[in-house]
Amino acid sequence: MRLVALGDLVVRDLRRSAGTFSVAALGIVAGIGTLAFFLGLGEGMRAVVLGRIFPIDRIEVVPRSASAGAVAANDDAPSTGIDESTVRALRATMGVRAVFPKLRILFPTSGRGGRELIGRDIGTGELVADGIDPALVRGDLPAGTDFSDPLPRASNHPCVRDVDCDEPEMCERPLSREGHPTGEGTCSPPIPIVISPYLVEVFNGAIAPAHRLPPLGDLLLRSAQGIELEWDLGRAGLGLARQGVQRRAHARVAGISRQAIDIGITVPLAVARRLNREFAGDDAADHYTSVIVQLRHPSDTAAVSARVRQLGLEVRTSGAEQMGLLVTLITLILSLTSVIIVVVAALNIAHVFYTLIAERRGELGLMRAVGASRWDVRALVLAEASVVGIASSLLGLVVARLAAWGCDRLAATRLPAFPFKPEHWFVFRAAEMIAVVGFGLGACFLSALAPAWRAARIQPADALAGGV
Amino acid sequence: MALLATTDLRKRYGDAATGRVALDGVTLSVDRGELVAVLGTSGSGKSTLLHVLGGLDDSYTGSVKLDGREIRDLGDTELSRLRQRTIGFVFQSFHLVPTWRVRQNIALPASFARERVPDLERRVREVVELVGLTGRENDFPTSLSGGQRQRVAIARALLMKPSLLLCDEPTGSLDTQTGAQILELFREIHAAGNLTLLLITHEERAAAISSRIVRLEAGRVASDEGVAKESAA
Repeated sequence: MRLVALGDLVVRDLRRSAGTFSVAALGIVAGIGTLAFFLGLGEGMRAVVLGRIFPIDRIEVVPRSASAGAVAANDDAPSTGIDESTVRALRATMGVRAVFPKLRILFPTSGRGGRELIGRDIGTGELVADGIDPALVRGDLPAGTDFSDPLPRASNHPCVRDVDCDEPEMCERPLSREGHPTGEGTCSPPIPIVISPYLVEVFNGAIAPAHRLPPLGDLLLRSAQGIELEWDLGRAGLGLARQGVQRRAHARVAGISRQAIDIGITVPLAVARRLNREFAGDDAADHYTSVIVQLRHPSDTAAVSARVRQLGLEVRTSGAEQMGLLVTLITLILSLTSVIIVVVAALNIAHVFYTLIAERRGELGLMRAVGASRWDVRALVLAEASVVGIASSLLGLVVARLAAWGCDRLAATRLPAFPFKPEHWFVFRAAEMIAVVGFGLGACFLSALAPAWRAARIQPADALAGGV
Repeated sequence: MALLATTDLRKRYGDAATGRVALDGVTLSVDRGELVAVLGTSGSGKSTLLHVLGGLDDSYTGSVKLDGREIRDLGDTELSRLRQRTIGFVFQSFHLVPTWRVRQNIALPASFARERVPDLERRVREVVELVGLTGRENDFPTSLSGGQRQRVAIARALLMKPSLLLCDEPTGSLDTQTGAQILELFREIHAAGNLTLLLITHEERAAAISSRIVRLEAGRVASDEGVAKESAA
């Protein structure tokens, strides 16, 4: 039997029984629709959780706490950080795409700011700061944003007030014993900083309610760029730096990045190195606190982790694996529900085919009489089931996409803004959707197998006795 | 050489105790080009004989050879191909698909051909013309009379140019006049080509167009007379 002839017969049969097949296919539409919907939602959640909150293609490597770090392990040095040679070794590791060292500010600092955003300054007795490779946050910052150490561009003109300096420079003045700016300072551009969305979440969830301040919405967050902070270097509530000139510098928010330290501010690596050298010594400037290792693929995690351990370091657990597992588990449970719907629908389709074959017994007998082989009869039934499967699965996909679009719209308009709120809650991967359609097709095909075999076993002589 | 030959053909419906013998040692030989009427009363085994001869029923004992080939030895694919290419069937109740147009019903055998049937549309027009239904190709069977429906069924049987036409009570559902027209059509078709025709019927008038009459009684060949041949001689 040729494909064209088979197609012609299938179309004629489906047209004739369109109503019956439509009702039977509703179950497949519903099952495939919900399956695609839940898979899309699961992928969307994975994209947010593992792509934005806990990136799974990045791991943070820290000195092994027990051994006091790689340097200590390898060189018997007193430092607890990671030295440049270890960074190079990590960079050369198979499966590593890039390495971004981080350097914590290892001397007391404090700061205040936020007037532009919430109407008054909020101060912190201790301000934690990290220095990171600017390349790590480049993608998160607005185009053209300069996130580098501003010192080489500083005019260093003497000043006592900010107005003594040309824009965008501000006056960086020494601090008195009481912590007030005193004497003559020098003009320099504010240090660019990035802050973490977590910080915003903490502010909205804890600080804002306590101080009866408005929460930071999306609009406010966008306006955060350019906000200036006063940053007291070498001086904090719990103590003073052992060395260096305590002074009040200025920092300016360059943007928000998930790569920034959760609680605190993040500065360019060069700034952290320079300030650490001045206030905490060379060792604090030359040994990194941690290293962000970007993997070529999440599947490289195990191999890279092994190499990390060889180097006397360890991987800081981020919770990504657990969150990924949780998302996968939830998706699996929801998908299982959909699979059950599809299976029940497939059983219904099998029943429909059994009924149709009984109704068309005479017709099938006639087909056999005029030359149809048993395989032709099987092919006819299975082709009809396949067309029903593909059509209903594709319709299910359309329904899922429409439902996802509706949910996205609802979430965008009805849900309040919150950190990591995705613009799209669903990710429909082509391969998964093809697999879903394949599943719908497979379910219908398999459900028609037994009816097809029964149809092929019909004795033409018996069947023809009943008429067409 | 015989186109169709049976030897000691036996078939029983049901078990030995309560069943019924349908064919009881039928031995028959039909030459190429013959028009044979198989006459018999209801239950004499006529239709069973046709089903067995056409390869529609394989639960029998004995031998059926078509064109020298034992049909029991053929696989399903070969047997299907034989039914498609060599045998045409005409049934009492027409067996037309009511939701298909006349031309679609007629073209049905071509659907199961392994190769594309050349000039199928032309061939459909030819057989439609042959059975006198020109202009009704796009009608549905439900809009046709009984005689016209049987003509559609005959056209379908002739589409693939079979060498053997097996007709099971082709006039059984028709009134006398229409039945006569259908029999005349069979005579014309037989006269037009080298077609072997086996008419299974209970109607004695079928004998008028036949060259040979085989009478079945209780599954046995009661008589086998070469009517037309004898009268011609």
